[in-house]
Amino acid sequence: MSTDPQHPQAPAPCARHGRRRRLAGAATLAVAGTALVGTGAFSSWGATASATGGLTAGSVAVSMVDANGGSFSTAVGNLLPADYFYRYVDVTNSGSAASTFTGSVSATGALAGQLQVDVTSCSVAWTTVSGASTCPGTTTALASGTPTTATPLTVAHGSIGTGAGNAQHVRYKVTFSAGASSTLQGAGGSIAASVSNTVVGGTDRTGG
Amino acid sequence: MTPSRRRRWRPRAAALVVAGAALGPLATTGPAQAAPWEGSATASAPVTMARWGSGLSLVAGAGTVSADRTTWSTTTTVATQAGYLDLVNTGTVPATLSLDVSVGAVVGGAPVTVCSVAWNTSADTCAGTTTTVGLAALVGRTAGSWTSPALVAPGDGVHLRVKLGGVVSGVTVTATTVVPRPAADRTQG
Repeated sequence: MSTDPQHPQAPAPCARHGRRRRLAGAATLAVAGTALVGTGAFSSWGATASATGGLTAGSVAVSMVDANGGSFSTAVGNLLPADYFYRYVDVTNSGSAASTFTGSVSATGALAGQLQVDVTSCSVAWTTVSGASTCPGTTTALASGTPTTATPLTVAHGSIGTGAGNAQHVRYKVTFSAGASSTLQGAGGSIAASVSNTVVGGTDRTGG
Repeated sequence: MTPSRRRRWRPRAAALVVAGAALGPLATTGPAQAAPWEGSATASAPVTMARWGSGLSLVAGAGTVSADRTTWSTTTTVATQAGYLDLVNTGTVPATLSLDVSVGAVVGGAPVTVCSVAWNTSADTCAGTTTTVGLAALVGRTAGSWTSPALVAPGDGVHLRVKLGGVVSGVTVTATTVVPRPAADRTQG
């Protein structure tokens, strides 16, 4: 039995044992390699790209804002035949996108059918100069008629962009019939205007 | 024994009915419809028609006013006396008021005088401006009409004095036409 001169206490391996150790080491490496292959733990070079698109639900809203210093809801009493009055409203699209609006004017009570209504829009705000209703811009007739309870006057407001800056400046002129019967003396009623729009989705928004 | 043709078809027909009931709703269900979103706004204003009319009101002195306030009258009198009455705007809007006077006089007359303010009935004086209602002689009577020169506010009136003198067989003052103010722009109320 020979001894290692550097390590005189350690027995020198025999040729048979050395071969076994090499075989064992090779087997261990093989097993480890196989395990690495099985678990996919190879080092790799990778690249990842992502994109985010902001999504926001739209909104639909409209408001009628009193304009030209008046209030639509102000009562008008003691109407006489051929009396008339103006009401000014800014129709504002408070939604998130331009939309087409439709309005109606209805009359209720004993005076229904006795009130002629003329609806006109002005490209800029209406003004009253020396008591006269004035449009400094361009006027567009939207509707005219005599609404009743059963048959309101339909008003085509058309497309209105969003925001107060795109508001449609609308004037309602209400004229009490010159031929109204005197039997209506003291009778009452009301005149109401409304504006609405309906938006239906289902459109292809791929382009935005 | 072979079942009849009708009996053989019975289970098949039943199966078809069941299949139709199951598949029918599926067939009518198309692509999902987007629920519409709606915005709306409303404004309204109450409106009321005016009333117009006039009525007589006895302030002091002779005569009586009818229940409907359309006439004031006296019967035959021989003594000098006066009746003070107001022609009042009973409507809700300014209006011009009118009246007719009819005097059946035998001797004397019954001049009707309008005062711009209320008559002082005890002193029989007018502190304002007076206007005499012109009367025209007709057969057996005199008659005339008068209309207020300006609009009379609702609730206000014109102030009349009918002075009876001599022998009169009856005097009647009748409230007549009421013409409300002209049509106007009521935007400001």
